[in-house]
Amino acid sequence: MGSKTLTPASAVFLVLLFGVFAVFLVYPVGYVLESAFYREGVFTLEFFRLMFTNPVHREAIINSTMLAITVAAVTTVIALPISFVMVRRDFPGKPLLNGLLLVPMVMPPFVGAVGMQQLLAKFGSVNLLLIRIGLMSPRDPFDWLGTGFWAVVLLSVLHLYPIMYLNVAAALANVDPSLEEAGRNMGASGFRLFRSVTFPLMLPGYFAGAIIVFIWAFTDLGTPLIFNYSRVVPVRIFEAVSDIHENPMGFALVVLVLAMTVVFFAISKKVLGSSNYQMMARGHVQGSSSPLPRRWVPVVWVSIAAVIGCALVPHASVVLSAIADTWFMTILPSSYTTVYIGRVFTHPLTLSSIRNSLFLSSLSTLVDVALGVTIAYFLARKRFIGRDVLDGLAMLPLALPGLVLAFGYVAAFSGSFLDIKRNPMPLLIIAYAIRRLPYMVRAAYAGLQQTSETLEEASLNLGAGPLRTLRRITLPLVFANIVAGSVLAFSFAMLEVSDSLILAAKEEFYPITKAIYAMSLRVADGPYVASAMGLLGMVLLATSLIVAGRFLGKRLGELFRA
Amino acid sequence: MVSVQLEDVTKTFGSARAVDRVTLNIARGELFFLLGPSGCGKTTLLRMIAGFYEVDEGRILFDGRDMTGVPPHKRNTGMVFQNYALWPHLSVAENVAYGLEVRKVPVTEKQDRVMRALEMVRMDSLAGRSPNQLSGGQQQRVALARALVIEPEAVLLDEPLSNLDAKLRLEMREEIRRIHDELGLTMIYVTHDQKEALSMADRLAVMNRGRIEQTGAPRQVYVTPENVFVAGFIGETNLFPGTLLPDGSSGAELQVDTPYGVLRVARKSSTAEPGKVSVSIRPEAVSVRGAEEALPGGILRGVVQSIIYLGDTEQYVVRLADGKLVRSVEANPARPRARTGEEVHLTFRSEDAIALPPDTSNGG
Repeated sequence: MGSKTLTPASAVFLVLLFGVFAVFLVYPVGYVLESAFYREGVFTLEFFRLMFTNPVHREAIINSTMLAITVAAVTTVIALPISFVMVRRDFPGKPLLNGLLLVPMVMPPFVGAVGMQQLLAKFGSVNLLLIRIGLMSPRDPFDWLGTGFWAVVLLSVLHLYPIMYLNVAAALANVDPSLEEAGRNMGASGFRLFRSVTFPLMLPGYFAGAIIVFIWAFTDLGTPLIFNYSRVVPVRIFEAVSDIHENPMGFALVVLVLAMTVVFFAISKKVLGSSNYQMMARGHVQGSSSPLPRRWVPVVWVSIAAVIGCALVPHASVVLSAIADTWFMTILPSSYTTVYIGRVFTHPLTLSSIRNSLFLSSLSTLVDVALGVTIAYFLARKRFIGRDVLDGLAMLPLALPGLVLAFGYVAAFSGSFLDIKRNPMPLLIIAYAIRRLPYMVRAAYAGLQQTSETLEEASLNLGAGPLRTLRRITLPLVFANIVAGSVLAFSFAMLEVSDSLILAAKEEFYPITKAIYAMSLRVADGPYVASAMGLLGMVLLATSLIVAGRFLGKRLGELFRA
Repeated sequence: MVSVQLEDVTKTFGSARAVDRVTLNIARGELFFLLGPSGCGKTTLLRMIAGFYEVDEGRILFDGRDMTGVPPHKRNTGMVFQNYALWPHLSVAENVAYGLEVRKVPVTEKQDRVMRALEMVRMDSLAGRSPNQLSGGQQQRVALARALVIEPEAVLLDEPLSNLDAKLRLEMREEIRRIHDELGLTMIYVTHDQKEALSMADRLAVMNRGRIEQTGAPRQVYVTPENVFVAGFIGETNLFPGTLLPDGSSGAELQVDTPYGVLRVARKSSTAEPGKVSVSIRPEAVSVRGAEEALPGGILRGVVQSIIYLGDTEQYVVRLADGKLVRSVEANPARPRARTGEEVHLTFRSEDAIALPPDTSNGG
């Protein structure tokens, strides 16, 4: 406000912020690095040699890489044509489809996996349907789940294509239409125009999306666990947590994930940074879309609806499992009940997990609001040494898989008063908060950026002090953004998977996600209660996204982009 | 109301001197203009008076009280921002009431003063609106009311009319002048629009590259600019480089030897010395005459290059023998004085010419 220089009070705040990052971000990561490279104080690459020579680990690395590449490729194939139609063409019902395309995001894929088991099992709905219509012999049902690889791919793709779509569509929308017009003016058209002008221009944005999807798929722990597909890196790391002090392989694997993430984001930064296409285009010219020819409208509608339909199958399966009374050897449940939904609120494990999740998410959201708004304020309004560092630290969790952070916490704080074996709640809160901090910072920063500083100056000029100005002018003006950011932070914390699975060591501290996992492993009613919890989570996340969307409008999508 | 004194005020951003040793005395109740091209430091200066920037060197005094270190919210100035800076989450009335709430004015008095302020700017009928529902001119009026309602020691206006269309701007000029006269306010008004400054100011200061080039009443600055920059920035002018001949060579008048002959000049600026000078003659002081009309005085010969007819005036551009272009503006051009391509004489009265220090910038 007014002066961009720091006052002594704000300098103290800033030091505290850096302190938080140092302890809960830099130190755990550093600890993991140290443990991976040093044995009894001596530098060694022995663990990495072991990691690559050990067939189990090598297989996991190969599987995870293949998995992530496949997911990135398939999501590209889905998202690219959809983005083109949605960005470049106008047709009736476009806004509706645009919204529906994002709906699959309302459920973490591992919850969908619980329901999908019911559909994809040997005598699950899919095979029974195929047998019914005579496409399959009842004596030789196809094993859809197989090793689990393709099941994980399927769930990940269905969950992640909206992320890819948001990024590709944004990249495409940012391509200055006049550049394409120039290409057309030179005689290029169709695929040639796409290859020579459009694609190179949208490449940075596409690449950013692809990296998010790749890393997400590579580091997703929940889905492979549910499908019992243990031959992937995240599951190996998860297993390594239990003997973290005896077996250094966990550290090596975590460092591998970390290195991969860093390399990818460095490449992405270079691709994005070295080609400042957007700088050259003066202002984004919107409204470059042309009407879709009438005869194509049904084709587009059916294709996109099919994608959405497929993507919602896991959701449907979860809903069905949650309300199915008996569902055995039939395509659809033969009778329905609300018993399992009721049991969510009576079973001690699920009940305590809901309580835990609410508690953890609320606190972590409070931490996010406090840290995020402060950081955003510093970044948007102050000039100080280390500004770029603070920016980088606040955004780092976007690139840091939850798996890496959680593993680092377990290792770095073991034996301290934060040890998860004592009480994992503090570390869970911090992990949730740190992981979702970038969303909060971005949301608040965007609000501050849109709020002209002269609005604050006008208040100072009329005699209001800095605090009063903050309370009466600045905060009300960015309030919508703060609400949106905290709604997202809260709901994602409620459904945080890898941190919860790794950090919540004792049953009494299980949050919802870990309880879903634990329930899904139980025989009898386990999967049904797990599905009922998943349904609840879905409703929660959907509500949150709608609320956040109300506050942020179209800019909601920007939070999910690189 | 206060008087505002600036003493050797200096502000640097990085290595750039935005404001360079500015000294000014702005009297109580004066409507004072800071006029200059963009980037000349006028807004920086205004923001230092408001307290948004600290002064690097020098002092700012309100009625002799040193304002150094006084934060903006304790200076009791009322600022009108270029983008109006109305708070979108508050209504028009709430915007205006804000400063009074901060000052803990009792509710009834507050409401009364808000309404009076809005009446003053003729916005009382729209008190309940949100700023987004107002036109630019209406927002401007609300911003003014918000600054005035707190009865500030000085009103600071930062290019308040630059976002308005031409007609509205003329209207608001009169409006602000009226309010100033009614309330007897000390107003410091920043603009790059010389017409705004000339038509409204009690006094004005012309700024360039962080420095004050000249201070004075509008007429004084226009008629007797002190240097080439001021002559060229306030209005248009024709400059003729030459040598000022020593005094007394021709009675009271001065003589300047130029490539176009010896020009008779009635005045020189205080900073012009015998030797190299530039003679400044405003276009409206130059008359175009047919070549056959023999006339006394400084006479220049040239060929009409172009004529622009503007209704109330007509502008001639005349090319002299060496290629120099001279502008002439004829008022009330009922019939053309000359045709394009015609050879003409240019005449002017010696009292309309002034000798200035030589033009050191390029082109002129």
